[in-house]
Amino acid sequence: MAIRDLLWACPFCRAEDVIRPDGGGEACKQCGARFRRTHGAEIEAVPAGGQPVRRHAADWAAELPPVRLPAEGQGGPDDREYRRSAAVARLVVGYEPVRAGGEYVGRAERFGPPVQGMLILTGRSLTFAPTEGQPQQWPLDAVAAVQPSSSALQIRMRGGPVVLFRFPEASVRLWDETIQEALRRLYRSTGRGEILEFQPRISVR
Amino acid sequence: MILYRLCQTIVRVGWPLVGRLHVRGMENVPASGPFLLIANHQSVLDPILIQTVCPRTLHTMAKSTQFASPPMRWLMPRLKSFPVRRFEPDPQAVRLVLRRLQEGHGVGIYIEGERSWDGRLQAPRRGTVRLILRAGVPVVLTAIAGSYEAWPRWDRRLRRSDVAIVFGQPVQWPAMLDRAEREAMVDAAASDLMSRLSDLLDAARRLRGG
Repeated sequence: MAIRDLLWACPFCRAEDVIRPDGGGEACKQCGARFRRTHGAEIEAVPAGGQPVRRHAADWAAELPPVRLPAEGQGGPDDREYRRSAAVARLVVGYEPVRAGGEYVGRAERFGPPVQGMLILTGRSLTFAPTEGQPQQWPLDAVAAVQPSSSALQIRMRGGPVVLFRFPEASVRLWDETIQEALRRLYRSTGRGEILEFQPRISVR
Repeated sequence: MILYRLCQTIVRVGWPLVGRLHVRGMENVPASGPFLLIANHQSVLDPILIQTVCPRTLHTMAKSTQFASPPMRWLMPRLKSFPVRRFEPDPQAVRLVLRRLQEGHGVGIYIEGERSWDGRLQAPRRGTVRLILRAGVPVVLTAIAGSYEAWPRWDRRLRRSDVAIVFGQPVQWPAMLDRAEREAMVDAAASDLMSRLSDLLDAARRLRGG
């Protein structure tokens, strides 16, 4: 969890995915603006060579540009890369029962070990390439649900695994918005309609 | 129940170190019988604070990943929380809500399904709206303001902040057991619920003084 999860684009230079940890705060690696939380939910931003600006987080967030995807090819979404970030993946490998006073009240996920690698989103697929071992690729069509959870993104594949991705440097919110936008584009281009919600499963109007 | 009450006491004693806690509308929580408490979600503090001030014991739906570790799987049910899987339909969670309501309890659900990134109200989860329409019990809409300023989703640190909680007057739809009937009502009910919750959130912000 970090300011870059909220501000996935720099409010000054408008570049996406450029705010990174820097000393005690965070800084834009493109224009050098620095960010830190002050009182309450107020964020102080200091543009390079400028004066500090303090505003409520909601006011900063309101100025974010919409997530931009590369222009669509004539034949609809293709294999052009939309986003790539270092990620830590954990697969749901099973479930544990949850009981309250002996009464079964549901089940909770059991996660496998964390695997470091690179998450790559294109117009047609999502690929996780671990630092060691074979990459795993899922067609974007196979994504059944997208759910941000704290500082992670849970993605359920149709008939396949539930994977939880954490992003050591990138913004989880940006990834959430980008995958959602890529899915909207894919569904539109294949005539499946407008996506209504992404959880608990993707549904269309 | 001992841990639930202990947690309430710890929060009541400890919260003044963080800020003031303003509460309005406690008389709107039914003194007996089932009810759904439907709240906005700004911070991890919300369930703790709402359970502390709610005059009735509240069974709260929480994301299943919070139960992933054995200590949390032991603790959370003792705080009257039960898991819901948010990334796939979870009929067990729905059944449990209905069972708790049949038993005459109050059940708390965060209608946005996750914490707000910027503190503003988000769209409601349609599954929660369907559940409200199916249950047909009094719905106490509840707004919390200030918890975002204390501990927003994008930071790990707790900061001083006053918090206000406003319980709204109960609203109720007749139980709609027919799926088609529920589906026909979902959009209108969602719009009505969020409009009421938005008004309550404004009231909570005024009460907090912000």
